[in-house]
Amino acid sequence: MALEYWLRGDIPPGPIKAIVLTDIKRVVEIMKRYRNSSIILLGSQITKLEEIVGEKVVEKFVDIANAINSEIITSNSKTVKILDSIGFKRYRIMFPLEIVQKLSRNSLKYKMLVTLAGFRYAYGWLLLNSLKHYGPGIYTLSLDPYAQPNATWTLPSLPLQIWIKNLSRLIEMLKAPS
Amino acid sequence: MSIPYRNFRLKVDELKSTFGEVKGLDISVGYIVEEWEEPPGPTPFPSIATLRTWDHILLNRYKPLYLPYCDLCCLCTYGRCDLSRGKRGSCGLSLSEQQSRLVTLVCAIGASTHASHARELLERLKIRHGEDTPIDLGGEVYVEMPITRLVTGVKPRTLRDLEIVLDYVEKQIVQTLASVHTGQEGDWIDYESKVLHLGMLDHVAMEVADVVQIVSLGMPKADPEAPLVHLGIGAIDITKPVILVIGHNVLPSAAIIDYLESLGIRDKVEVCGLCCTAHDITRYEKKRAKIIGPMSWELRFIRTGIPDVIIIDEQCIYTNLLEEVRKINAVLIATTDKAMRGLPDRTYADPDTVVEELVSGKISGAVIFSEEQTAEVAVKTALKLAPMRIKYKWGLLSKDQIIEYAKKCSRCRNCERNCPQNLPISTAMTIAAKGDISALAILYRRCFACRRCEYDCPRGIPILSLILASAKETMGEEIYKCRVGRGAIQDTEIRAVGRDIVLGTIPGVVAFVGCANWPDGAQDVAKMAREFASRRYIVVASGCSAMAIAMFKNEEGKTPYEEFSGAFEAGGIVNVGSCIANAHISGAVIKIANIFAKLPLRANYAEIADYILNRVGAVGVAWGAMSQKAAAIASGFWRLGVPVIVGPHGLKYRRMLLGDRDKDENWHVYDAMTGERIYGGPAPEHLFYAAESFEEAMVMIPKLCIRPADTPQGRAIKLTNYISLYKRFYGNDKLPPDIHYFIRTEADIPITYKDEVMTYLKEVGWKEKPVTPNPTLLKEVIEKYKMRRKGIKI
Repeated sequence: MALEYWLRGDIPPGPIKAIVLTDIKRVVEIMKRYRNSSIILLGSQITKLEEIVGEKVVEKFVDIANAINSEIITSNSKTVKILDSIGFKRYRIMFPLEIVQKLSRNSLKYKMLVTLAGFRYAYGWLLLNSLKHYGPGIYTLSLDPYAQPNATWTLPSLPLQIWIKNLSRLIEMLKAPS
Repeated sequence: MSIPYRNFRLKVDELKSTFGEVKGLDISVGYIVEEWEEPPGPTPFPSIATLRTWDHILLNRYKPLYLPYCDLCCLCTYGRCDLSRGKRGSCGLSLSEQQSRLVTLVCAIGASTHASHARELLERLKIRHGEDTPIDLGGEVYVEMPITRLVTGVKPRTLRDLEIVLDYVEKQIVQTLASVHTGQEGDWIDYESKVLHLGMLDHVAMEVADVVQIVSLGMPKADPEAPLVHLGIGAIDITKPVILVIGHNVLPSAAIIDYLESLGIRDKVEVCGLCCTAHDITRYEKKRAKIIGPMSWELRFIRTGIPDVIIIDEQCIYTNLLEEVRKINAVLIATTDKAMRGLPDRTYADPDTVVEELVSGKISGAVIFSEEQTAEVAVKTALKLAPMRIKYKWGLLSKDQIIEYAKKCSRCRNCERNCPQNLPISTAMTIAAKGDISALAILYRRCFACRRCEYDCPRGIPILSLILASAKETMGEEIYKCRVGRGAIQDTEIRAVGRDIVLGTIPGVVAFVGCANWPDGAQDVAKMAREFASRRYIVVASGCSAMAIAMFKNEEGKTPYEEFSGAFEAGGIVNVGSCIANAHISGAVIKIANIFAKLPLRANYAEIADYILNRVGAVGVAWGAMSQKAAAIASGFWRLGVPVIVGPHGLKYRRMLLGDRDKDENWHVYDAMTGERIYGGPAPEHLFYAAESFEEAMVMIPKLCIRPADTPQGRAIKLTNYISLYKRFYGNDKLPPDIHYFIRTEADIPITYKDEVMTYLKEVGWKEKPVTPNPTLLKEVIEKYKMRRKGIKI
């Protein structure tokens, strides 16, 4: 299952598919490569994932954002409250469609990495496909527990407990001096 | 396109000639539609190209953001073609054009479905009630059928007048659908223009369909106090035989009511409905018939084993329903050639013989095209079958059976991977295997019973049945009150609120429409409706969304229909009826331009749409939009200048129509009085938008009600709602970061937030912007204003 994309009905027959990253070191390499030129989009399901796994998932993404000097963009009110409560300032409240519109219409001059997590599966799937075709300067990375075929890179589909362990390992490795 | 008055009429009041004198000669060959007092407008019976200029104005402002579902095209044998990243297919089409082409196809399916429904109602009811049946929609409705008048220029007086209207709609749908063929249209903007054309046709078809049934079947006529009826599975009396009707065409169901009345046994049989037929059967009977719920309640209800006889008509009915019906030993009767489901045709058989065949199990269902025959067979079968089916009623799995099944689960998560809602089924099964079925019961609220989990379970576990059985208590408690669909909005109601809507002092009209593919259950629609009614918006509803609004009770145990008035007024919640009754919502918006602003209605589409876009703060919310019909309905609203918000599943419609607030040049309007071109601001900002979450929709709704023509007082009221909802979700210390785009002068700033907003405006370097009470996107409107000022007839 791990190397397959998640939702069965949504597996595209398309020619450009995500690279599934089974080695967390590859994720670290990619994120470090785009240090200072990346954003993290957190969807409405991120706090539901928190409830299911019983871990502070949003705070893990804050750690990731801090490690690569990235901004977090979200429109999830619970996430905003968490970010405020821990004093994380480098975030913007913005709706996902509006940020994707901006990213794909404002043909960026430089390469950048857009990391997504916590979106409803099909919603994220379609946002990623829009960026795949209409945001040529944008690389996308899905850090959801469900493999996304339209990202440039995606984590595999894994049980939530393994996914959360992987996130912790990712943070450790990002923080470690290179 | 030429006006399709195909027939001939010669009328001579007085003629003197060498042959003699003729007085009052009136010869008609074929059928002629009566003229009416309003002078003809510029665009009667518009073809695809007639309103293209208006469409292009809209589409250049609200450009598609494409979200392709598939990177390929597989519609012809040149393919499959890879359209990814700028490549084109064998025919030359790009990925963007292919998306717009598919949306055209989707909307053609939707529009043809409503047109076919309208045609069926018209033909059958013309025979039954006579083609001279007058179009009378109630004493307070003087502008009947505003969409038909606006689009075709015809003012229908009788059912017969609707023939040429439907002829026109059908021809245009065929013409537009043909553009989807390989090698026809080749530009996204013209495909999108066709989408808008189909949407407009769809609203004409819906209006015809609903008006035909209102005037022929005695449904409520613009009645704000239409009665309340029962809604919910728990409302059904299982001690009686139960006939369930599903779909959208009310005729077979109405015949069942009539037949029961004729036998004097109406109180002995439960007649209940699912989806829009449910709305319409309650509009027809107004007392005993009950609504089970929206379309996604179909399998929920059938698996309870309660219905004895199930009658299907058309649209949104599970296609393998027969399989489910057989499991509970009930019977199925199909009533239209559009959905015969492989059943034997018993239209011409003796009804008692058919009853015998059904009761004995010789056949599990039948096709019967005659409504009267359907009614007789359904009632007789239900009466005989019900006593034999007692063991099936509420025959859901027991708790022990649920646990046993849960123990068989291998935790492969295939169910989750095939669930469109991504529900945590596997976790719930693990908990259930240990004896606690509460996690399964929680899934009931968000599950819309598609059965994709069951299809993919390697152990053959009937997962949906497990969820339903776990939530048996909840299902039994589903007893609500829903207001019967009232039909049109009265002209007097429009007169009373038109001014406040256009000035902005009523902050908006919010229409909750569409299907039942809600991301987190039905109650979110009710919460939204209550919130905006409490904020003195005018809330209107139709179809499955109108049912969802009923599925909520406040602290006093009242549903929103009991809590709020049914009038089209600030703070009202108006159920117009089934999904074809959506036409009364677009009709109301058109009437604001016609009745309040006195704009000519007859075949004057672009001017009216321009007025609505710039002045009427209306927004549609299709939170659970699923179908092709929903796409067509939405596109009809867009062409009229009404934005639509859909739920997260709506992103699967492949493209959104989004404005770009940072591009100032996109937001210029003309001042119709002076002709000056000025900045009008990003209002409404988007035309089609899929919100990912409830809170996003709640913030987007007030924002999309903002219009360039708002008075400072109206704008301040709209911004108060926008800011206060934003603060509720994101924190009291925050302001919407785009607020400066919507503040033209200091007078627009809500008093409550004045200091905070002023500080923010200074931070972002805000500058005053022009205000015009007469914004327009159409140059010809400036000319019209001049001529009207001079008293010249246009």
